[in-house]
Amino acid sequence: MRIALITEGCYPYVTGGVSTWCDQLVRGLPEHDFEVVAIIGTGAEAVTGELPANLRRVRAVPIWAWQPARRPGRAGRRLFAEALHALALAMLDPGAGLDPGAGLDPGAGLDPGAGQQPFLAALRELFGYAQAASLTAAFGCDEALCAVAEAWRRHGPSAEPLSLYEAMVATDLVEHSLRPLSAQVVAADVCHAVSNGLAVLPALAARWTHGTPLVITEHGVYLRERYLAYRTVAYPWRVKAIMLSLFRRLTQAGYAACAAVTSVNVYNQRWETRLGADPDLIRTTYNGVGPDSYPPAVTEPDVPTVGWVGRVDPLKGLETLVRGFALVHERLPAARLRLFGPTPRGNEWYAALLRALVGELGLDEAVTFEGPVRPATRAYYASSVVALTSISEGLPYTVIEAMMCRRATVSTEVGGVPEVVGEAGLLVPPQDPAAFAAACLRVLSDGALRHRLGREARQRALAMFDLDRMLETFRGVYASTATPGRWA
Amino acid sequence: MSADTGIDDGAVAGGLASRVPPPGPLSASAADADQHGALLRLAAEQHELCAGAVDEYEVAAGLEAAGLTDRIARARYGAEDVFDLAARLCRRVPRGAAQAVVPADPWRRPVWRHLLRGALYALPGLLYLLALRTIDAGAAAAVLLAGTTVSCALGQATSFLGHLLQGRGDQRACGRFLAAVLLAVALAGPGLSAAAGAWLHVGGRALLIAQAQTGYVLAATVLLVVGGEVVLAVVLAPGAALAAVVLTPLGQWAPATAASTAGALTVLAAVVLALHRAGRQAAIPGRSLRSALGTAELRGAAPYLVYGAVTAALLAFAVIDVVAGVAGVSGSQVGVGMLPLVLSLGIADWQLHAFRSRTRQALAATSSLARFAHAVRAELVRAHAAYAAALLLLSAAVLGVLRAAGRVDPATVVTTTTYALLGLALFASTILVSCGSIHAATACGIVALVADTAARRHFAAAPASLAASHLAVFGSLLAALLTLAGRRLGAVARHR
Repeated sequence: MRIALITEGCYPYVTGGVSTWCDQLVRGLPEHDFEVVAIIGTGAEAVTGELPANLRRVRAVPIWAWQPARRPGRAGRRLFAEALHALALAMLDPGAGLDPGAGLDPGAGLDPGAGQQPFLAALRELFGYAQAASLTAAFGCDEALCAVAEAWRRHGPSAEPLSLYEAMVATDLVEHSLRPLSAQVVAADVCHAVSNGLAVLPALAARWTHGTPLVITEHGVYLRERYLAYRTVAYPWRVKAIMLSLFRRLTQAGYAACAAVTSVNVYNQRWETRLGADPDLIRTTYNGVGPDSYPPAVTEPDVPTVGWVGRVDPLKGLETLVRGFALVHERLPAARLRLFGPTPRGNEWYAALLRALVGELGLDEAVTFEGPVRPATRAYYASSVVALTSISEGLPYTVIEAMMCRRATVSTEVGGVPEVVGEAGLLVPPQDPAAFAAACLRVLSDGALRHRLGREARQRALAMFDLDRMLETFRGVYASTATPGRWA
Repeated sequence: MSADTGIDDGAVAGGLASRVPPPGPLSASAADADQHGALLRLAAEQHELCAGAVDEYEVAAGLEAAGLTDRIARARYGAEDVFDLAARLCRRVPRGAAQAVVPADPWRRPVWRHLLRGALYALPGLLYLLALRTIDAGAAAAVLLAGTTVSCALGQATSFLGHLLQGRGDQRACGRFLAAVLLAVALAGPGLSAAAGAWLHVGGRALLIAQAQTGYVLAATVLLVVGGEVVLAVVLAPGAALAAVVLTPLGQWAPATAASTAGALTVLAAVVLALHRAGRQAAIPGRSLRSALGTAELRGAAPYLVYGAVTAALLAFAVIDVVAGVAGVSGSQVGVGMLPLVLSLGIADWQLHAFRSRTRQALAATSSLARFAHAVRAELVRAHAAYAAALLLLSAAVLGVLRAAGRVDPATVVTTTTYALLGLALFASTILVSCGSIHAATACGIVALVADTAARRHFAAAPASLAASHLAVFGSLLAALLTLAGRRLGAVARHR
C-alpha cells in the first residue's frame, strides 16, 4: 500500500517527539511504501537522520518560502475574491460559537457542524484556484483584503472594523496557511495526517481529486495548542480572531472528512468529540517503544540528579523545571539538574531565557544544558529521577522511555500523562514549582520509594506501551480505510 | 503534543507578530470552600485570559494550561468539566478591549544609522576622486565607467539575494553565496579586466582601479547584508580621512603613493573582512547553497541587476559628457556637481524609511482604501519635499562655498542642479523599488537613459542645449516616477 504521511513542522526535519513516532511507524511497517509530505517553514530546514528504506520520497511544502508572483488579471482577482469572501464568512460565522456572548450552554455555542459545508465548499474553490494560478499573487491584491474586511464587517465578533493593517496581516497569514493547497496533489492509497490543521489540507486536496481516504493521528489537540500558542505570540486581537477561526474550521473539517482518528490518549478525545469527531471513528493508540532499546538501568548516578529529556520549547514548561529545581537545591545542595535535548531553530530566545533564569537563581554550577544525547538511554541512566514539566502533552515518549528504563518519574498532570504514569510515578499540577519540588525531594530522598516506582514503571511500560502493539493497530487502520494497490 | 507549526515562527520573523512571555499558573490558593466564591476568584485571576479570548475554547485551553483539569473543575468550581467552566467564566467576564498589540515597525530606526549608511555610501567617493586624478580621459575613463556600472549592478543583485536568503533563515546558504560572489569577483575579475584592457588598449592603472572599485562595492554590500555597518565604517575611516587631507592644499605634503596605498589597503581590508563575516555565517548549520538558491530566486534577482546598471549609467551622465568631450564642463566641475547628491544619501535613506514607517502607521489608522491612498500620496509629497529641501540646502551650501572661493561658474551651477534633479528622481525610484515596483522603476530608468543618450548624440556640438536636455530628461523621469508612485502606492498590497 502507498501511504502519504503528512507532517507539519516535524518529521523528517526535527528529531524527537512526533518525529520519533513517525520514524517508528515507517520503519515498523516495511510492507508499505511511504511518502512524506512535510509542511515546513521557509524551506531552509534540513532533513535530519537517516531515512528508512521504505520512505520513497520526501516532499517539502514550505509555507514561508519566497515566491515570485505575477498579479492576476481582473477576472482572476474577482473569482478569487469571491471564494475568499465565502471562506472568511464561513470562518467567522457566529453559528459556530465564535462569539462567547452567544449560545453559551456547554456545547450549544460550539456547534461543530454549523457553517461547515460553506467552509468546505469555499476551501475547495480556493484549492481549484491554487492548482491553476498563484495563490500568493491573488492574496497580494487589495481585493483579497476587501473580501476579508467585508466578511469581518458582517460576521466579525466585534463591531469595530478591521484596520487595513489588520486586514493585511490576516490575509498574509491566511495565504501562508493555505499554501499547501498549491502543492502537487498527493497520489496514495491513504493520506495519514500526523496532526489536524494545516496537515489536513494536502489530504483534503487528495480526497477531492482522487477520493483518497484520510486518517488523522493526534498527539496533542491541534486546535488547543494553537490557542495556547497565541498566548505567547502576540497578534492584534482581530488578527488572532481570524486566524483562530480558520484553524477551528480547518480542524473541524479534518474531523468531518476523516475515515479514522487515532488518538494517542483518552484525554484528547474530550476535545476531539467536541470539535466534531465521530466517537465511533476514534481509536486510542498509545505510543510505544521497543523494550530492547530501553533496557532497565542497573545503577544510579553518584549525586542526586533530576534529569529532563526533550526539545527546548515553551510548551515544555521549563521555567517551572528550573524554578522547582531551585527549591530542590535549597534543601538538597548536592542535587543536580541535567537537561538533555536540542533547541530547535526559532526557540533560541527560549533557551536564552532559561539560561538567564538559571543565572538569576544562582544555579550555574548545579544546572547543565547537555544538548542532544544519543542514545537517549544515557540521559535516563544519568538521572535519579526523570522530570516532565510540560503544560501540554499528548503521550510523551520521554516518560514512557524513562519508565521502560526503570526510572522513577515526576510529571505534570496534563494531557495523557496520567494515563502513562498511572500509579507508577508522581504527578503534580502544571506550572507549580513548589509542588514539583516537593515531589522531586520525596523521590530523591526516599530510596525505597524511588526503586519501587522504577520497578512498577517498567512493568507498566512493558504491558501498555510496546511498539508492536501500536504498529499492529495501524496495520489494521490502513487495511480498513483504503483499497490497497490503487497507486502501487 | 502536536507537531509545531511554522506559521508563528514565520510571522514573528516577518514582523507580523511578536513573542510575549507565557502567562502564569493558577494561584495555589484557588481552593475555596464556597464554589461560587472560587469561581469569582478564578474569574478575577483569569480576567486577562477571558477578556482577551476569542471564544470559550481559548479559555478552556488557557485553563488547562494553567493546571486546571476536569477533576479540579468539578471539585473546586462545581462545573461539569473544563469546557463548562470556561463557558461560565465567559459569561461572567465581558470581553474587554483586548490587549493592545503594537505592531512592530521594521522601518523605524535611529537617525544615526541612516546617517552612518549615508556616510558609508558617500565616503568611498573621496578615494575614488583621488584615483580618478591618476588616469586620463578616453578609453581609461570608459573602463572606469563600465566598472562602476558592473559593480552597481552586481551590488544590487547581491544585496537582493543576500537579504532574501537572510530573511528566510538560510544563514548558511547566505554566507556561502556572499563568499562565493566575493571569491568569483576576486578570481574572475583580473582575467576579465586583462581581456577588456587588451581589447580597449587601456593601461593597467585604470583596470586596477575598476577592479578595486568592484571589489569594494561588493565587499561593502556583503557587510551591509550581514549587518556590518560599523565594521565597514571602521575600515573606511582611515582611508577616507587620508583622502580628504590629500584633496586639500595640505595634500602637497603627503607622499605621492599615500593615496593609492590608502585606497588599496581600504579595499583589501573591506574584502578580507567581508569574506571573514560571510565565512563565519557559512559555518552555521543549514542547507546547502544549491538547494536554497534556485532558478526562481536568480530570475528574481535579474531586475535588480538591470536596475543597478541603469542607475549607475544615469548617475554617470555628466562623466560620460566629459569622457565623450561633448560638454562644456570639466571633470572637477562634475565632481562638485555630484557633491550635494553624495552628501544627501544618508538623508535619502532616512526619508525612505520615514515614508515606509508613516505609511505603515496610516495602514493601522484606517479601514478605508481611499483614505489610505490619500494618506500615501500626502506622505509621498512630504518625503519628496523633505528630500528636495535637503538637496537644495546642500547644493546652496556647496555653491556658496565655491562662490566665496571665487570658483563658481554657470556650468557648475547647471551641473549641480541637474544632479539634484536626478537625485530626486532616483529617490522616487528607490521608493518604488522598496514597495516592490522594481520593473516599473527600471523601465522608467531605461527610457530616461535612452532619451539622454539620444540627446547627447543630437546636441554633441551644443553644450547649452545638451545641459537643457539633461534637465528635461531627468525632470520628465521625476514626473513619470512620481505619477507612477502616486498611482501604485495607493494600493495596500504595495506595502506588505
